[in-house]
Amino acid sequence: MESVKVRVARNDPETGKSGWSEFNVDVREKTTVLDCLDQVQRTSDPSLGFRYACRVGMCGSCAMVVNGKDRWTCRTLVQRLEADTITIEPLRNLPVIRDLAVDFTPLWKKYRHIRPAFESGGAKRMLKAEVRRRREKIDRNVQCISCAICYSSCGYVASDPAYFGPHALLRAFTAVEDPRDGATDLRLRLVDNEHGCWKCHIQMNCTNSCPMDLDPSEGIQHLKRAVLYRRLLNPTRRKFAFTMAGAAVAAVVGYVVYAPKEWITVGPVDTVPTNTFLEFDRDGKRAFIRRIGEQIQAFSQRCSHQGCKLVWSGSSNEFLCPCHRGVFDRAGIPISGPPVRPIEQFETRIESGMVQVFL
Amino acid sequence: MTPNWKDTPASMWAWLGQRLSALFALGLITYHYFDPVNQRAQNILLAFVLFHAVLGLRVILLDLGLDTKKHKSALVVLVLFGIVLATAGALWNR
Repeated sequence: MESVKVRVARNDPETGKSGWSEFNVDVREKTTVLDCLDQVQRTSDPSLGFRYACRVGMCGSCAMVVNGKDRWTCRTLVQRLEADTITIEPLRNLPVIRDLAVDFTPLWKKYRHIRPAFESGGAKRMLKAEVRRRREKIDRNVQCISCAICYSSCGYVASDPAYFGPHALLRAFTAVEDPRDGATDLRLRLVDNEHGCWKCHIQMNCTNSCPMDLDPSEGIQHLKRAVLYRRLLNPTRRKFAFTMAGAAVAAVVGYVVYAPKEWITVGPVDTVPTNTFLEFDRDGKRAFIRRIGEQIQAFSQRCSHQGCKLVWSGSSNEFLCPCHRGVFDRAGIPISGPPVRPIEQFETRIESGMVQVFL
Repeated sequence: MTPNWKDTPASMWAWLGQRLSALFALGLITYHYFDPVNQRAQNILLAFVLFHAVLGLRVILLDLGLDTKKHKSALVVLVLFGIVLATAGALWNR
């Protein structure tokens, strides 16, 4: 028989006293954390407060934070912890009644809010395969023993006390998926808010700590999808009208902004300069144009880095970008600054003495 | 409380990483406005933005119904993908 040190968080709201108590407890091969507490209460300190009932992992009343992790103490073997000191604290996110016993009232209040009881009047006609598929999804998750470990480990319950939490939302999920249940739409409306399923940001602490190996994360994700489908498939007349109006506005804006490329006539060949660049702009179609002998060269006015409007500096024979201090030479090759690609060039041609650019 | 941060599950690291990378990316973007040509800062910014993006992709996959049992392998694949993209970006931006 070995001995381990048990550190227990003490809290008495009536006197306002709180602190830690330490006990040495003898353990055997199969001693559980709950057995340690029982031994402490019987032999060392009868005033130690904690809650348990079945001691075989069925009732879900003995969950505590053991060595920093939420666990069911009746099924947690001391030997498995592999620690000399066992630190036991009450569950988080719930008010402490005394020492290790917490008040489940907030948990049950939220549970009642999502209408946990079965309500008749569900879909009468459904394919057998569909019923089977849904049953497979929920069968595992109806085994919840309401130990509040998921609720205690959830970081979002800690930051938002109004958040329903994984316990209530998992029940909402199993009820929503139940093909016989008639209150699906009501429940989806209840969880469709910032304290409902949308508060979950998939930290998955609930799934990782659940002693029954249930998957509240998956259930909440399913609720999110179901809420989304409900909103998309049952739009109100007003929503439909707004969507259509939005689509029409987007189409008009898109038509105005989008301008297909075409051949644009700049002017006679001898109006295009050879020693500098012509800054061409017609209805927002812009280019730098110059002539080298009989060749016409047309550069984009957009910087190849982030698309800012370039400036031609005749004194230094360079294109300058004011945004990030990019510099290009007269052939459009980057010299300094962030640009790595040359300036885009447009196709040009001469049609019966007139210069045309494909803009 | 016994310090046992090593027990923190991958899902929690992914959550934390996405929040932190968002903060770092915001800071680096602000810096980028004042010094846009610092290539080392550009590469670090790209890395943070990519990290943030692949973690966002993980959330999207979970939203679309990825099995929560498979999220860890998805996370590994996505982060590797992000590292490849960040390396490619850094090589291209020499």
